[in-house]
Parts: sequence; structure tokens; C-alpha cells
Amino acid sequence: MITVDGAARSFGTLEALADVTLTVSDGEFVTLIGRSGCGKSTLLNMIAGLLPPTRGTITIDGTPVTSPRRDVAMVFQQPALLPWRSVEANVLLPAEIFGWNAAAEAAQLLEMTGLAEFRKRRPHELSGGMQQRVALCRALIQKPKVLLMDEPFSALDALTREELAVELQRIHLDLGTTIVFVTHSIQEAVLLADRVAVLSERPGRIREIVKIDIPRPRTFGYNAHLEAVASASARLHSLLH
Amino acid sequence: MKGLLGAAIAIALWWGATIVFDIDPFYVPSPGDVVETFWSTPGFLLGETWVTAGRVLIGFGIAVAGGLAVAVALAASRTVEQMTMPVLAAVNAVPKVALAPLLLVWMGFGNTPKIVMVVLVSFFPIVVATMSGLSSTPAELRKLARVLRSSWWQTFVKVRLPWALPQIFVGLKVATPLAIIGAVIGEVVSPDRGLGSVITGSGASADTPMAFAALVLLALAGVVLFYLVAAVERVVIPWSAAV
Repeated sequence: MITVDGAARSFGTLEALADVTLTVSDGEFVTLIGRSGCGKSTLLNMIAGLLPPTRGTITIDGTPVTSPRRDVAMVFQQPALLPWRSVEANVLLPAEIFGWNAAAEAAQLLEMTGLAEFRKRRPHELSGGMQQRVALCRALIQKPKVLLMDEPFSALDALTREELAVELQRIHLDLGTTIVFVTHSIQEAVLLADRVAVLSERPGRIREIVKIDIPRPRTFGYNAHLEAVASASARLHSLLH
Repeated sequence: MKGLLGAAIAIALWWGATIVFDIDPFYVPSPGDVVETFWSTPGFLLGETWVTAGRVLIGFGIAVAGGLAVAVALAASRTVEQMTMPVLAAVNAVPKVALAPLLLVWMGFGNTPKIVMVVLVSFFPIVVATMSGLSSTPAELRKLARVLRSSWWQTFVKVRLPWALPQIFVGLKVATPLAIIGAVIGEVVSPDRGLGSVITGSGASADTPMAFAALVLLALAGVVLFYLVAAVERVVIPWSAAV
């Protein structure tokens, strides 16, 4: 469980985030949505232990977060792959650094994300969507309890985004990982989230937390619960404008 | 292949110019004169080439090893890097040719001052390229390393150094012709053996074709050394060309 209690963060005189309080239960999928510069990524970096809050506290499973933890993995907007390593070797990077032997897990993850036949390829041979899948596998090899995702699909084209969002939902249902997902996209938030935390403009505060009560697995097709999706989207839209 | 064609065209132009403008071979010999001079004493010229090449290779080797070591040591700490960068730039701006007479005073004749001159001219481009390569790690990779809590050494070996390699090779390629120039400066200032000495000697005795033959051999040595480095590059970082 992630507990953010009255966390705030300033950079010099600039107040990026003011008094955020939020709890994320085990296995929950929470998206943070808000306009550019509202401090969504700052909040994520603080949960990751990359940035100490100037006020307030953040704990994961009761332990205050003071530095990055092995059971908290992160996926960025850029795939951040090492161009000289094969797909497989990129996925194994965290295991190498931790001193784990995880070849079997890597193979399994690549299988799960449809990358098995590309495991010997170098990143530049893959499409943007596939590169981001590799980044996801690299995060999952940490066997994370918590997965933090910072606009992971925003550099991709619209169709690939949808595809990856549906895939991420499936992985979340399979693995039960707690996920905090930063996005600009209402559509993505509604497809993925159990709850959407809407942040106000700078300094960011939580304006409202919207529960998305749409049965899973959700899809973008005709069998989507169009009415529920439309009403949730409209709600988020009105909160953001 | 295209490179060979270009060289052939250049030689043809040189030859054509000596004929069309009817240039006295005393001033500019034609390629034919130069080849003839070479074949009249092939052993002598190849021997001198070998002497110069030896000095270049030893000096270049020292510059590569020293340059990499110094750059890595400096890049270990941002403070040290910021302190030393201006000093390096200043030292690099000193015309190394101006040091040649001093080297003669300090080290006398023989191999040492020539090798030192090679090291002096080729050392700095390697240091500067390596340092800039090591400090060019993209922000997202630095962040990844922090998230994984990778140690300084792990980050260096697994991320920063491989990332710097393409730039290091740029530095090496800049340094190769400089290394040859360094050896020739040393040999021209205190002639003993080597192609630089041949040029000084043939200047004194007005043997222009001999001087040109030495120049051509120097150019060839430069090409060979450059492509050697490029070949090593292709083996070490095959991923770089494709990225």
C-alpha cells in the first residue's frame, strides 16, 4: 500500500505540489491526470524515492520512502534502452545490477509481451511501441510490488497507444501489481484506472478522485461499456477544464 | 572503391597540371618522377617510413592509454572536471610546434623527443572527446541508473562508457593525422631518421621528387592508420553505425 500524506514539493520558490494526500491499495490501478506542469511527475518521482518531499511523508507498506527500492519499478516516457544491448540484455539490466539470475523470467516476460522472437534484436530495429514493451519488461523483471509509469505511451501514435493500454490492463489483471500511472489522456485514464486522481494546476493538489466503475477487461471496441465510459470521460473533462 | 576512384582522379589532376602548365619538376615533380624516385631507392624510403611509423604508433598508443585514463579520472567527479576543463583547453591551445625546440633542449636527439611530440599533439583530442562522451549520458538513462540504485562503477561500465564510445572514436580519428604530424614536426626540427628527416634533407639538397615521395608515403601512412582505427571501431561498436 502506498500512503502519501500531506506531501508537498517546492523547487526554490516555485511550489510544484501542495499537500497531496492519497492512498493506493495493493493491486490497485490509479492514474494521475492533470495539465502540464501540475506536478504529476513530481509526485511520481517522490513515490519512487528519487525526490524527497519538502513537507509531508510517503510510505510504501508502512516504510517511509527515502531512496529507490528494488520492489518499486519505473517506466518513463522514453524507453531509455541501451542501444548496444539486445532486447533480452536490456530486460536483464536490473537483474544484473541486483546480482540476480533472471534469464528464465526474462524469457517469460518477452513471451508475455509478444517479443520472444525479437529477443536478439537491438532496440533500433524495433518500433516505438515494441521498444516501450521492452521497457515494461525491464521494469517487470524487478518483480515490483509497485509499478510507477510516467506518461509511458505519450510518445507513441494513437493506435499503438490503445494497443499498449489494453495490453497493460491485461498484464495488470495477470500480475496484480499496484500501478500508479501518470497521463494526459482521459481515454487512457478511463480504460486503465480503478481510480483517477485529478490534479489541479500548479501548485498541484488533488482536485477530486474519480472512481471508474466499469467492469474489466475493458476495451475500445463495440463491447466497451460506452455509456459508462462516456459519462466518466465527461466527468474528468469537466474537472480538467 | 569510391575512395580509390577519388584518389585516382586526384593523381590524374596532379599529373595533368604538371603537363598542362609545363611545371619544372624542380618545383613540382609529376607523379611519374615521384614513383621513379621511389623505385630508385625503395629500401631506403620504406626504412624511413618504418622509423616514422614506429614513432607514431608508440606515441599514439601512449596518447590513447593516457588520454583515456586521464579523461576517466577527470570525469569521475563533476567538480574535478569543471576545474580541469579550462586548464586543458589552455594547454591544448599552446601550439605544440613551438615546443619542438624546447623538447630538443630537454631531451636531445633520438626517438624520445619525437615520440613525446606525437603524444603531445594527439593526447588532447582524445581526452576532450572522451570527457564529452562520458558527460553526454542522456537524462533518462541517468534516471534509470538512479531508480535501479546502480553503483558508480556499475553505471560507468554498463551505461556511461559504452555510451561514450562513439565520441571516443571521433577523438581517436581526429588524433590519428595529428599523431603523424607530430612525428614529422619532431623529425623536421631535429632530423635524424624518418620521413620528416628525409624531407628536411631533400629540401637542403633541392631534391624535390624525394621530398614528394616522402610526403606521399606520409599521406599513405595517415590513410592506413585512419582506416585501422575505423576498423577497430566497427568491431568494438557495431551498433553505433545503425543507431
